[in-house]
Amino acid sequence: MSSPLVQTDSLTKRFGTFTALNQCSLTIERGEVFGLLGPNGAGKSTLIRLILGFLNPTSGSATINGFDSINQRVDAHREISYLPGDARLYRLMKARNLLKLFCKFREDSDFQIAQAVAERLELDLNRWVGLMSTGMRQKLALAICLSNQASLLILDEPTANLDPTVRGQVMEIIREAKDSGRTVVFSSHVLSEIEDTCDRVGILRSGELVHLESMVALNRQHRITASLNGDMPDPPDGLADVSVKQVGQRIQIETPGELSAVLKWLADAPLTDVSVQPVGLRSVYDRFHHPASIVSKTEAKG
Amino acid sequence: MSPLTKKYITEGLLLFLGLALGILIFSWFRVWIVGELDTAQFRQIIDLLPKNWRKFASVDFDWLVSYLGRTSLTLDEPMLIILVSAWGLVRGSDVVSGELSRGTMEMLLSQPVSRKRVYLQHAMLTNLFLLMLVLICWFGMTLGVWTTSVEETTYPAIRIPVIDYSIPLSFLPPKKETIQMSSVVTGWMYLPGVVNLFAVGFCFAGFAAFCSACDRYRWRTLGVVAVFFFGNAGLKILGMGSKRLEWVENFSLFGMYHPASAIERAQAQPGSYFWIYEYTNGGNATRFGCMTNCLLLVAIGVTLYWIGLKIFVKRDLPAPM
Repeated sequence: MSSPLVQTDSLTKRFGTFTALNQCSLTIERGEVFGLLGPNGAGKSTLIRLILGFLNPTSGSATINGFDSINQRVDAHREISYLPGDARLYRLMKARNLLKLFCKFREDSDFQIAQAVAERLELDLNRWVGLMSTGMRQKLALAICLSNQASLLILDEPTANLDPTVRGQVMEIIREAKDSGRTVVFSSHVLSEIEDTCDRVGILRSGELVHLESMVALNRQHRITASLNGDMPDPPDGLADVSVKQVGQRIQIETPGELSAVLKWLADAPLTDVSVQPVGLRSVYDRFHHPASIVSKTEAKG
Repeated sequence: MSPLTKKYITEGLLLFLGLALGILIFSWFRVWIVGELDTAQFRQIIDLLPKNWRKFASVDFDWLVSYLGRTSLTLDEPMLIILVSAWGLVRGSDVVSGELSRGTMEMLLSQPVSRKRVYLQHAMLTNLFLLMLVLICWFGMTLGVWTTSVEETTYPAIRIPVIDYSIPLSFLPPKKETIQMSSVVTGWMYLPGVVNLFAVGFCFAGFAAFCSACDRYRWRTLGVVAVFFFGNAGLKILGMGSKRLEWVENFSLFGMYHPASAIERAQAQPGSYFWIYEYTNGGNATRFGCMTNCLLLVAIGVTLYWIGLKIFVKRDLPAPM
């Protein structure tokens, strides 16, 4: 088995007394699309900036394909292509010249590819960068980002300034990158984007990586709600990890795995108005970022 | 051409062209204006000046009366010093805090380019263009010398052939004649002063790059370097203006900037340019020699560049605002 492409080991970053990221240990496998979720200030960008070597960790380390993000920064950057959330580019250049310039920085860059991406995103390359809107600049930065053969794409909220049509195109491009075997680290506030594209997701809260979830496992999770008209039979031995909550006559059952065994169990139960829904990323996210969960965490700390 | 070189040239080209034009015109016209005033008339004006004004001149007043002396003072003009230093201050301050302020640093450094290369390539180009500005100044002065003719007031003289000596007959009416300034001054004579100008520009560029490496806001860096520049100029003026505060000049970088004096020394005794100290007739060391001043300024500049590099390589790069 090959070594992971990205590995962080107890990565911590403090700014004075404020801890922006705390003891983050994470591995991202080759060919994986990894999503980073969390509200503003959760530590997503700090984690990305630490991986890129823009910030020096207070403790811990990060490696990209075995290269230390600080001590072997240039080697690490050969493996990475990065798209910031709000790309700022040289305003005194025309878009075409800027693309050519960035293509010259890397041996594995190809201007023809950059141009093709720009055309696909309907970007006018004859325009001065200083006269471009935020969305157009973001498209230009995406063309730069995709012009090379780097094994790792790091996209920090890549669709934040884009219209819905282009967002769809960007998602398509990410899927193509995955199909070509590239690894993608992708942060976003939009759960559906993560759900549609990622293989695995990490949820950050107040600088801590609080949950890692595989999308395959998540897709197997279901929530069954129903009205109970009698006594509920005990679950069979193979369903120990099923959670059952009962409020009055309403019952909610969450299953983390295979649904067929649960359905067999429920077939004999006195249930009506049964509905079965996939748990979805929203529910997982809300476990950590629902106002109630934040309040309970604060109280626990207090 | 490497992409970084191309980027830095693109960014600085307009400023460079503007400054180059300003420096060329200024240095040319400054020399031309000298030619408009007859040396004899100038001596009369100088003689009318209060004696204590002499301390504001970095050179001997008698030498100052000559065409070389007066044209050499071009390099002491605040206007020229500001124009040349502006390049180093503006470009030097841009290398880190400028890119951070504009938010362009992260796209640049996410490429496989080391911070060291970004910083040093910027420094190299800044100083290459600084050298070009200084050479343009030199060229402007030389152009002024070539294109200026001057009116000289001379008296008929008797020449004694054996000892090759002329005795002016001042009781006869004076004679005015027009000569080319290039017959008494050559461009090469300015070289010691021009080297001093480059050295001071380099030092300010190093300071600006150091401040930029520590900061994240360009406006703040520019403010700091402007205060530093004018503070140094103020200390120099203070030191020159008062005998009691003469020591203050030692705390100014301009205390090592004496271009006209360097030209005077080099002309009088070329070897003295390379002396570590300047000496009085009594043999006492008075101040650093011309070359020493230049080397000190360059050494300070290199040190500031080096500290700036160390800071930039180690520092955190904040996210764009």
